[in-house]
Amino acid sequence: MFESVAPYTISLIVASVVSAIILLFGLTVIWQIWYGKLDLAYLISEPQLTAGKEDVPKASLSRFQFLIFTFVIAGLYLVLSIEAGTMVEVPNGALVLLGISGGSYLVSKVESTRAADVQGEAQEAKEAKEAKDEKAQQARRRASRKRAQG
Amino acid sequence: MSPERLAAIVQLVLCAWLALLAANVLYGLLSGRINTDRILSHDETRDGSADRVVLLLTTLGFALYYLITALRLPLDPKDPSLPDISADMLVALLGANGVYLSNKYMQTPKGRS
Repeated sequence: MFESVAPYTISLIVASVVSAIILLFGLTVIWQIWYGKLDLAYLISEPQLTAGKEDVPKASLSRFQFLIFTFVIAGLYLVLSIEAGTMVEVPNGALVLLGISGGSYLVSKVESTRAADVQGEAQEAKEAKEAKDEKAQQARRRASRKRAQG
Repeated sequence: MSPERLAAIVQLVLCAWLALLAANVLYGLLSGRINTDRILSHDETRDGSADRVVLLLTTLGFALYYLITALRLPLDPKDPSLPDISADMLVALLGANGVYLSNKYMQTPKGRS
């Protein structure tokens, strides 16, 4: 049955199906964002520091920068590729630009995570000290009660 | 359908997809659905910070400059490529990022280790 179908036609069908699947993935993402199932509220926010301290996490400038440059480079690449009819070359300068932005984002993320760890440790130490003080106070109360009974 | 036609359709849908995604993000930023709270403030002190303003202006200026340059320059049909970025511009961006990161590092509380 398949002997009569030319390999060219098969490759075209496969390419169409694969393209349709990839585009459907993309459209699903847009659909989910539009209907609020994919929440972008904290797209450019830093990880929240100590739980309960802040209700709204702080927005991150390095994430914002990374987002802007990604959109600019990806958009231009797509538009110029369509204009040229072939895949355009990405010069080293543009790669360095993305590298600087990505590196900045990474360092910023490490710093934010470290800050969250330090604040978490401080919070734990404070809670442990409070628990210890509470125990000591209870022990003192018990001792004074015993002395009063004796 | 020819492969050229398929490629043209895919490219157009991809362009539309990227534009829709960018529009979604832009709408989210403008309407406040995407959190931009304290984007120009220090992590700890919560005061406004000059290095963040510099980085924001550099980022927006750089992105606009690159976008306009790429769209205005004629595309070489033999060797099509994105426009290159001069070393001076990269150094300026690196400087703005460096100042921002070093300030962030100094503001971050240090642990015991």
